[in-house]
Amino acid sequence: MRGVAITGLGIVSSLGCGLQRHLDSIRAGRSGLKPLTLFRLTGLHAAPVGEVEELWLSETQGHRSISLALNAARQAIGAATLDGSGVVTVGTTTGGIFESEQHYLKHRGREGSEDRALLKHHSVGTIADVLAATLNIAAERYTFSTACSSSANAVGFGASLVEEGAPWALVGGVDSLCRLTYCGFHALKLLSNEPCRPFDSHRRGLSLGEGAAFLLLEKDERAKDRGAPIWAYVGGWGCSSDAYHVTAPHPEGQGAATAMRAALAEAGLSPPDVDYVNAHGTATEANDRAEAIALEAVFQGPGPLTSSSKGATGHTLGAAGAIEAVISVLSLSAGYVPATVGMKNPDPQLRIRHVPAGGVSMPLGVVLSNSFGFGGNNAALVLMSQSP
Amino acid sequence: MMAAILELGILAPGAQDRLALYSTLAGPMPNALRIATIPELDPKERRLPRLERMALAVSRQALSSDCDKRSLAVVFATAYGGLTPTVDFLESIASRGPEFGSPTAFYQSVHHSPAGQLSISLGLRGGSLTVSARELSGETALRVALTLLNTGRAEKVLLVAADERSPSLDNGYRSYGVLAGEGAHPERCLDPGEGAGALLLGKEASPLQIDECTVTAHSCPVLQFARPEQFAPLIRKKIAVQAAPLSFSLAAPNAEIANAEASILREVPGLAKWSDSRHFGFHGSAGLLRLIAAAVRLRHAPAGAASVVHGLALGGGQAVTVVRHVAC
Repeated sequence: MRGVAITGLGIVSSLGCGLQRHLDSIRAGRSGLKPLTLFRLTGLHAAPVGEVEELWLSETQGHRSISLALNAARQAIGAATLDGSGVVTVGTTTGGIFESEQHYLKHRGREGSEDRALLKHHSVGTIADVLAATLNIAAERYTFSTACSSSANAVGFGASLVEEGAPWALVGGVDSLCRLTYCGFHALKLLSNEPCRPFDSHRRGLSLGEGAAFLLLEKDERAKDRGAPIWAYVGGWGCSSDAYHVTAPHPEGQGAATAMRAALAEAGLSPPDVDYVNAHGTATEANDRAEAIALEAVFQGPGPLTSSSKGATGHTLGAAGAIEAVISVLSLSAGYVPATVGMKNPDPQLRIRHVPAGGVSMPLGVVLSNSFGFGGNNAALVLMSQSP
Repeated sequence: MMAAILELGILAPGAQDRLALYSTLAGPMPNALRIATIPELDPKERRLPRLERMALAVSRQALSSDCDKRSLAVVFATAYGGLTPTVDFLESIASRGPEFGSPTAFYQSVHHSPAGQLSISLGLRGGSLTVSARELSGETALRVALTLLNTGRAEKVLLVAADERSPSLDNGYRSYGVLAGEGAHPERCLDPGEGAGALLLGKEASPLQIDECTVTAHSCPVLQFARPEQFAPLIRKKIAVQAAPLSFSLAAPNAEIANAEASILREVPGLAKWSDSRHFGFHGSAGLLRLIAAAVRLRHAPAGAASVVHGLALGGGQAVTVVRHVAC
């Protein structure tokens, strides 16, 4: 994938809002995980989650995911003029479920016309529609919902359209906390009662989060012609299927390795070219083990420095790929590799070259960002400081 | 942007495969826009959710035996995904408490669950994308599939679309007064349906090909369709460049829009047109089912004949797809 420049970035998560806030938090090893306050669930412990402060949900749409998405998208667009026929790609899993689940839990399948506004944005595709309408941009719209790899695929697909000639693409993802996912991951016994500890010997599962991130992509020449700042480049996108299990990853990480190799091949790179891996790293027993095995297979050894952002942001599900792509670009830009927040005792069975506590300052040229989802969906993005 | 239709599969009210579809299309409107029976599956799959069984059934019809399943890409389309398991899960936490949610219903509620099941059941290890775009989910997924083919990311793509009628969805339409048979303005009411379709797409020669697929959007409130003055220009533009013999499949999500489409098409003398929405109903995968219906009809048409398939979604989406019977 050649000449796909990243000219705008936007992010909102439990760490706060904006690039500087996130970079400062990442450098400080700060975590946004706190006990859940967004809703109460009688009988369930309020596990730590990455909840976005209401301060950053000021849009008037009355819809949590749309407010998050608009916040991040506006940051990414900045002062750019999105003329011509561009593309909007959104990755999301929950869409408008935070509102529509309230309708169901109140009316239990009855009509409930008085609360029908809660249903208005249930369909995941409405987020892209509202983004385009509110931001007044004419664009083809694509919504990807491949579970926790959704927005990595949205970024990758949008980048491929820019490579094919689209003048610009606003790509990203969003998911809000909701009862469905909180109770669902509890039901699967994957929700940790303490802040998650990716790759740790004592990891007990994931911590949920919410947020949104968007990237503005443009063809290199267009970006340079208009004097846009170029943060980095999308060099490659790989995706694959495990064909193994509906919730568990392939135990040897075969699909994950295939996706990583495909992304690297598209970027014209070899595994030794990678400086840093922003891992999926959810802190579930099975994911971290499978990802470690996949990394070892791809890199034929301990590989490059590796860390997970989930201890800082929580697992933001469909938004995770885009949030971690933005964090990866910030790493490239700042020359800083963040450590895994929450990891105290690295699991000795996982042969990963962990980033030391406190992070590492070093020049970075290539970052590989992994995102894996239910149904055995695997996506990997290669982000580079220079165009391949 | 062209692609060959190498195989197809369909499961629709009154039609369990493409042969049945051809006779169904010539017959009267079905009594109910529901699928009565899903073809027999592997016994291990009988307990899967209905939506996933629908997707599996059409995928098996469309997958030829010589297809390399390890590299085949999958694009799955659905507007509402596993809405039945979603409601089942919410009901489980409402009735039994938040700590007793059904783990099975939870993972089946994920939009990508049917695509994951396709990969597991059929051994598909290539890239897999689930696309959701309200009532243009099928057409938008077709755009994604064509991009995968035309950028060389895939040599073949299995495009599958599936949507299920759900009492919850009916209630949603009912709460806005637009459910067919109940609303105060029948001409604006929607008749929800269900169905699944699959296309095996590639680049090699085949008698049926997708010439193009355009998906666009007009400024429009979330729960309304684009106005005729908004959607007419694209229809006129696409018809103007097509040579005869040409036919047109109306989007016809409701009677008001069907009339508006017919009015626009009266500008083109002799153009054959029909509405398959009466067979398939209104749902996220209906556009792909109408495209398959057009392809099935074209098999019986002379080489060179083409069909324009129009689609409209709530929120302002519009799609125009051109499918052609070519000599090969």
